[in-house]
Amino acid sequence: MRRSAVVGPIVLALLAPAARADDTAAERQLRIAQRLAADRSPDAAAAFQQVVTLAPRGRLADDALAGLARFNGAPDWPEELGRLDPRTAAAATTPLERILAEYPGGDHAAEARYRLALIRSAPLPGRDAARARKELIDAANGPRDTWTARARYALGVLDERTGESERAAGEYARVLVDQPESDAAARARAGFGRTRLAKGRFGEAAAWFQAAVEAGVPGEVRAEASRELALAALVRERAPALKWSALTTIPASATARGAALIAASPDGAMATYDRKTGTIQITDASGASLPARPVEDVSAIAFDPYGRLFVATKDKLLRADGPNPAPVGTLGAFAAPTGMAVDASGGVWLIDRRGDRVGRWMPGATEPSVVREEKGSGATALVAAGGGVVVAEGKSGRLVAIGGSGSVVPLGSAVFRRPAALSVDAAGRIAVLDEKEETLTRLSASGEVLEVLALPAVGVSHPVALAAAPDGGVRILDGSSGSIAVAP
Amino acid sequence: MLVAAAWIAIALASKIAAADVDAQIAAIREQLTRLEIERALAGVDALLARPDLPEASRVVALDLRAQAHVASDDLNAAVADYRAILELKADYAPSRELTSKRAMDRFAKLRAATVGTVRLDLDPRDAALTLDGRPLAARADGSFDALAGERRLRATRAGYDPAEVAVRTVAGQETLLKLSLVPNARGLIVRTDVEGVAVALDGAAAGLTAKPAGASSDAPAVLLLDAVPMGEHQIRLSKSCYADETLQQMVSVDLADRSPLSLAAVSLRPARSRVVAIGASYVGELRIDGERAGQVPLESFSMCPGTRRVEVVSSGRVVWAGDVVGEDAETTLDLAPRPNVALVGTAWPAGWSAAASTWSARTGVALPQGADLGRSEGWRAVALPPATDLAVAVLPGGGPGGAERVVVFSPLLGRAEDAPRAPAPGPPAWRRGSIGVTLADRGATSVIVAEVAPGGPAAAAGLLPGDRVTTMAGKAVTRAAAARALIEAAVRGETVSLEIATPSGESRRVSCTALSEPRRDGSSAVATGSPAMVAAWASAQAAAGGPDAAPALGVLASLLESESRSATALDAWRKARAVGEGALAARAAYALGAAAQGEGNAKLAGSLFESARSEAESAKDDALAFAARDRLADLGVGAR
Repeated sequence: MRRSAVVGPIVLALLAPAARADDTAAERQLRIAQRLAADRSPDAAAAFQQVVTLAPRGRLADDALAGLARFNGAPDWPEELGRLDPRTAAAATTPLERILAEYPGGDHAAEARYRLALIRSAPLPGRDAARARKELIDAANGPRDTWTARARYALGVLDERTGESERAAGEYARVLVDQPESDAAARARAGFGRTRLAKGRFGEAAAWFQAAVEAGVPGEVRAEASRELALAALVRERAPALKWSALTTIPASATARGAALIAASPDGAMATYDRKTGTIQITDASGASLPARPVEDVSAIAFDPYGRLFVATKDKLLRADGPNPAPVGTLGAFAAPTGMAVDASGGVWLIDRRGDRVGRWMPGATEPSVVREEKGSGATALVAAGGGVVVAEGKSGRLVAIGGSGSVVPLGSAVFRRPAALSVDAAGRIAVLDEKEETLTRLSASGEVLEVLALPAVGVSHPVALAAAPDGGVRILDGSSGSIAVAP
Repeated sequence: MLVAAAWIAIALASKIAAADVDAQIAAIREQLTRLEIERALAGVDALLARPDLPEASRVVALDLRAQAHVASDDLNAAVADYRAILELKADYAPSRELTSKRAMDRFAKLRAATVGTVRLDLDPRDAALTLDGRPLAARADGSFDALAGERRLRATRAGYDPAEVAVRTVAGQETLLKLSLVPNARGLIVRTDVEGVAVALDGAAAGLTAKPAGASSDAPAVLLLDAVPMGEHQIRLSKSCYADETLQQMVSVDLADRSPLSLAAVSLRPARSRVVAIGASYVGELRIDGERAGQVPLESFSMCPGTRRVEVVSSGRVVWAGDVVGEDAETTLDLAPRPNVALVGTAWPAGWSAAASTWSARTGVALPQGADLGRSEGWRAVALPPATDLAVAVLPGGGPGGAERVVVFSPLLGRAEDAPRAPAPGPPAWRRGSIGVTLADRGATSVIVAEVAPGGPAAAAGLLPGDRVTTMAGKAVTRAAAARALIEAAVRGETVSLEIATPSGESRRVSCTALSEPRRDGSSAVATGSPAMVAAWASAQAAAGGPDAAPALGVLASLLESESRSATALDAWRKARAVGEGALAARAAYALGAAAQGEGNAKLAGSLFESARSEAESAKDDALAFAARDRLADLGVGAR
């Protein structure tokens, strides 16, 4: 505050219309703008604009526009896309498009192309993943610089999130081989590790995550948690006797009376919903409880890959990761859904109350649209996986994979008597809660049964919901006690 | 210091005084020419009154005054001046052009009455003479003039005892005198079978022996030592690449034979220092003092004793250079390739001497004024020697707080960088120890075997993915990076002992025999030094070939690529493709494929990417295999 008060007069003085283009004044103004931006001063945007006004054809105009875009929230990396909202995206887009339109030969054109492509791929209304991918390919094939590496990395992330794991591996590998010293390389190591994880090659995956961690990959990539998952899986492969034999329990909170839903965030946060108290309880990645958020008539909760919490009520879809849950759409025919999952594109997948239909709500849409309809299929639960969802169908007792385009294929050959809940971990392994058999079954990403846990034998008497933690452990919500059993 | 200053002051004053006298004499001469006799006489009198007037100038002044007197027809006064002159210079005669006949007659009479001639028979004839303390130059026939009366004649010459005799000179007559000096030294002729031998007489350098003009090729080289005093002398003979010889010579004088004593010709014995070479396993040419001296690889060589400039040239460039001191005892020299590093300025930075001792150092490059050597553009002003791999400059006061700033420049990378710390001596580690495992951290203190290379030492010892490493070389293992460092430090054949715990809880000890494998990429090598430094070492190593050339080429090519030195990077990749194998050859094929793709040659690019993919898969380089596959997909080849 004090800092803004000090620099305010300087900004106002320089905001006066310039009589002529003046590079020297523009340079001075750019320095002020950059300092204001570093201080997160609200005056920074106007200060950047003034640089362009002072010297619209000057060499610093595109520097100022790039600075403005960054200040307005243009993303640096694909992992940040969940932070964008439509207003921020628009504010960042305008200066970036000006760079491409007015300074296409400048030294920020590649940066603008990259950031614009990221914004286009964000889970927001108007998302255009195909165009984003095309623009990222274009940016990745430009003259070798930091933006080519970042664009190549972002392509990998896009591919990974649409289930194109092997193609993503190729993009990550290109970063590692072509530009190993780039700032994208550490992330690419983790990305390559994830593609190995998706293949069930846990040792290789662990090695790549280790390399990523040693290369200083940022925490938002969650390489350490992925390494833990990979190593845990590796160790368990060696010692069958260890398989799910040692559950730990997280006791129910003092206020819990009717916990019914659970969801886990990729960063380790966990949310539960108590139907009797009508509150959502969130614990952050460190285990600390956040203030309870009252929401009535919740039927499903789910985190998206960016850690945003979505809540479905009897008629609305809400975002509840902030202190005050806010509606983002209406549920229409999918009111009070029995299952919900959110993918990286922002698509919210839902099962209607009767279990006949699977639908998807896209950002900006008024209501969900139907993706699959099969009367009497008795769909009970779903999880986002491989760019689509895996759905548990009660009638057949099978799992089916629904692709982003609506294609449906059976997943594996396992049959369950009453599959009531699902979870999926970072390796793509799916846990299935069979209420009738009182078992928890872990399947590989391709549907092979890996291990089965008899829940009564480990003291879980009334399992109602599942969630997978970043380290691969499955959280089993006990509806009778409100406690959470952790199956590592 | 004071004495020197005083001496300089006196010398200066004398010089000024002499110039002053010359000017006065010139003025007097001019006055006489204009017949300003009175003024000329006054000037001469003033000059002669000066007590500091040199004797030669006094003679000139008296001569001018005599001319003035003759011009004013005062012959008596002129004769008085002639007399004064003859006392100083007995062989004086006035100028006939400027002197009247009458005056000349008066002078002739005076001379006949006061000056006699001495005819001296002097042995040796070139002895120096003084008469009454004044230097004397006798005429060619040995005669000289002297005032009549008793005179003291002294003769001196090196190699002879000085002699002084009294001479009675009679005016107008010739006096005969014989004077023989007694020799006390003799010339010596030193003769050697080779020429150019340095001769020292009693420790003082006396010259070099040389072949006499027109002598036959097998004639000895000679040096005449003139006037060697009687007595015993030491003569030391020395020549590069020959053993020194010392002669003891008694010199005596033979009055009958004063010719120089010719010593027997000395045959000098060639001398060689044996040098055992290590690290010289590559192909190159050994040069000593610029001359070809052998072919590398070699195990040893010999060279002349003393300090020699040794160089090894490989692939057209110097890959090793240094001044080597050849000694009697066998010495050992590490000729492993090393970079040519130029020092710009006068002294290595503080603390850099250990590293500098492992380079082929070049000095004598001047620090340019005004150039910003902190930027690569600034180095254009520096004239670096050819084949310089790295340049080091110390910029006075350019660092923090006015401290010296050290900047290194890589001509290869076109990159200047600050070097706040002294580099580690010796080359980067092109290879690392390996037992064929990849380790990963689990939790805060566990280290798990993530991968085991099939057929590797760890696999042979029974290690499996999922095993936990608890100790290594007797030390508890809690971090993967530390454990890996221990393994990488192991040399080939070294036993690496580990204690492991299997997932089911069993513990056991295993021993693995370490392999040595090339580092696969540049980044890990760069971690041991700056890119400029690593590139310098890599360049020398790559030029020399040998066992480490392939990994060095790979590192160099990666560094060049990261600095966008595309053409040179491609050249390095081509060489790496030729000499490398496994993952390196695959990586080189990939780089060459990328270049072909950039040039629009899809067919060649496809072929190279396919080779890269297949070779990378064989070498278990997953990332490279995937990257090559992705490149192939870009070309529309193969399924992703």
